[in-house]
Amino acid sequence: MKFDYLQMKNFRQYPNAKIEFSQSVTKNFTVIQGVNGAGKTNILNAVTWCLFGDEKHIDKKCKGLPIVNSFALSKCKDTTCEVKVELQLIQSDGKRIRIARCEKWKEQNNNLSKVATAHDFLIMREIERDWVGPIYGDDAQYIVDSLIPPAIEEYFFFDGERMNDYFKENTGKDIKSAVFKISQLELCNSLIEHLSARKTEYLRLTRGLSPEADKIRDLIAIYNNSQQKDIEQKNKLEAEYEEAELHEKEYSDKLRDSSLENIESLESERAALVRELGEINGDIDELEKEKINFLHKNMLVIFAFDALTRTKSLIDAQEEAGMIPSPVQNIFIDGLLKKGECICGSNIAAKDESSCVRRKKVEEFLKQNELSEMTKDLINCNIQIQTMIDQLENFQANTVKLSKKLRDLEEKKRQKNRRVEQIDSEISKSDFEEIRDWEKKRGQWAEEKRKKDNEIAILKRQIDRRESILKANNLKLDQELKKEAKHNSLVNLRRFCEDGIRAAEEVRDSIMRNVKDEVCRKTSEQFLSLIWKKGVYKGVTIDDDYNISVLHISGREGIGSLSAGERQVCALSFMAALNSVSGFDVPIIIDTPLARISNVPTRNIAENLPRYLPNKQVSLLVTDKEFTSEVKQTLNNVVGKTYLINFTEKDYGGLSELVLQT
Amino acid sequence: MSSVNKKIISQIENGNYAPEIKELLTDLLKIEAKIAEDKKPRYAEDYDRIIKKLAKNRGYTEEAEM
Repeated sequence: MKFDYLQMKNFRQYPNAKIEFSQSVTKNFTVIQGVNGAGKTNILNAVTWCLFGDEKHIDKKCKGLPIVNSFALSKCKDTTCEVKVELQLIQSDGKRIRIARCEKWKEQNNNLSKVATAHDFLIMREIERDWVGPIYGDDAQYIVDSLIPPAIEEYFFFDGERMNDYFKENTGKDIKSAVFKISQLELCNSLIEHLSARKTEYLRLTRGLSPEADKIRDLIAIYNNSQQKDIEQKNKLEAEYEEAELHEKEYSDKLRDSSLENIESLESERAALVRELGEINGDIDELEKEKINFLHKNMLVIFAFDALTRTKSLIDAQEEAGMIPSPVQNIFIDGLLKKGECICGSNIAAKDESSCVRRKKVEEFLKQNELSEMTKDLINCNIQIQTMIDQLENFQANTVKLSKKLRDLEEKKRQKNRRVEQIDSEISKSDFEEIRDWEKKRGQWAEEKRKKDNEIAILKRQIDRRESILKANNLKLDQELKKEAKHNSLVNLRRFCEDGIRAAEEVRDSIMRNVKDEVCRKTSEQFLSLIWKKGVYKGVTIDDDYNISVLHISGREGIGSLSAGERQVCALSFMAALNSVSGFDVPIIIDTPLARISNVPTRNIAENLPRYLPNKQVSLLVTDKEFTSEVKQTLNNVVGKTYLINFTEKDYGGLSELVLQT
Repeated sequence: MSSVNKKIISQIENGNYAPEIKELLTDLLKIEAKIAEDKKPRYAEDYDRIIKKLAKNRGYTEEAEM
């Protein structure tokens, strides 16, 4: 999809302005250049206001001021003045959609008020060669929302200047939510919720069918109720944990940004240590789980070890004493009898006495040898016992290995904790009262976070345990209901729903993982090519809690020590990555993309940005300082149209006009 | 949101699930997309119809009509 044009009438400082966006495939960039305050951000606001009825990027200066152009309003006197923004899109199939939003304002006796209008939002669609419509209000909004979902507009229309603070303001939870939104996974969640409701309904329909089933169902209801309460409590605790984390980070950032003493470096070191400790704790948890699984797997052999060795020695002794006959196959002796020939070659088929005696002996041997079938099992069993005993010897070696790994990790954890404690103490003893105060508050929030973490862990265990009980009871209920054939259909419908829910959860989680990995890979790739300090960073990672880290070449976490410009590059890379994996074909508008970045990196970004936003129509709202002759030259091959905002300051406010540069 | 994200559909199609489960999820997602588009709060009837039809195909329900 592309933007065809944007027309603003009496919108903020624009009495009448039109931007015709570049439609060229190769020259897919449109640049709109203007000094600070000329109205660049209000172009972004005009787009979001037209699409969603909301100026999503309004700055403090404009907040509270009427949307209507003051000059136009003053000329209207007692009549109404219309504000209108019209945006025309060209869809990938070439069909156009015209979206228009308007408001009417009136000033009377120095009172400004909005005048109600019958239709303030409409769209027209091009079908075949005709324009169809207008479609008004909610119906029009549904169509717009399906093209550009409002929940993810911020990943297409964004303010480069605020990118610097993106990872300061957004926690792992926000990043996760971004990945979730961009993958459209709310559909999966809604499906799971509705399928669960149907499952519960099928359960409700079984009421009164069997007294025993009713008892189990009542029990399930009690467990479900407690489970729901615990899940709510866990969610509440998680929110409190996040709040504590945010406060801790706030004071941690203050300490790191302070230029006093060596606080800055100590705080950076502590942040890196805390992150490393988190990773070590994760590794310890994994290893402990591995150890427990390993023990479970070998438990039977451990308990039965004495019995196994005793059994083996008994079989061995019997074998040695010749008590266990050799495993001669009955089929072989049967063959001898049929052939009428003994194993020694003599005839046993003849009717003479010696032949009859020999035949009888062979027949008796066959009878005895029925035991040899059991012997075969016994010998097989002996081999299996030996394998189990061997496995136990490996078990010992593996247990020692796992325990050593755990001890090493615990030691590493102790050392890092000691260093964290040293840093805590050093910062607390600072000569500056402000530093001591920040450290105290940081410590209090860190302690609060730890407490919440423990409470969450206890609740999680409780929820998991109850989940197993619920599962067992549901199974019991199914078995009970299945005793009556007429209940089968309800049980099966419930099971079918359960299978569907499980599969939907798997699909959702798997997409989350894949999108996260893809976003991580692309962010890392883009960050490394955009960043001007080559060989300083290894890349960008996103952990399981969706926290973003920039890895320094030394292996230390580096996001905290990035400069404002570097942070902006990191956020820009993340936005471009999210955008490219979104699957939505929406043009991009970036307001002041290079504001905080100095000369060399600016050229670097100008060179690389088109590469990372291929086949996308991109509009850049830039200041003169950003759009230097060097940047202009670098972007020359991709810029199709350039507009200049001419701004004039008047008594009643500013007036801007857009002039196309040739 | 009249169409479902292609990534979700391909994840279902390539997943190791029974054909009826694949069909169930795909059909229900279409309903979800329609609910989102129409802001239609009622879904139970559509869900019921699809669940019963596919559960029957699966050979689960001998007498699914209730």
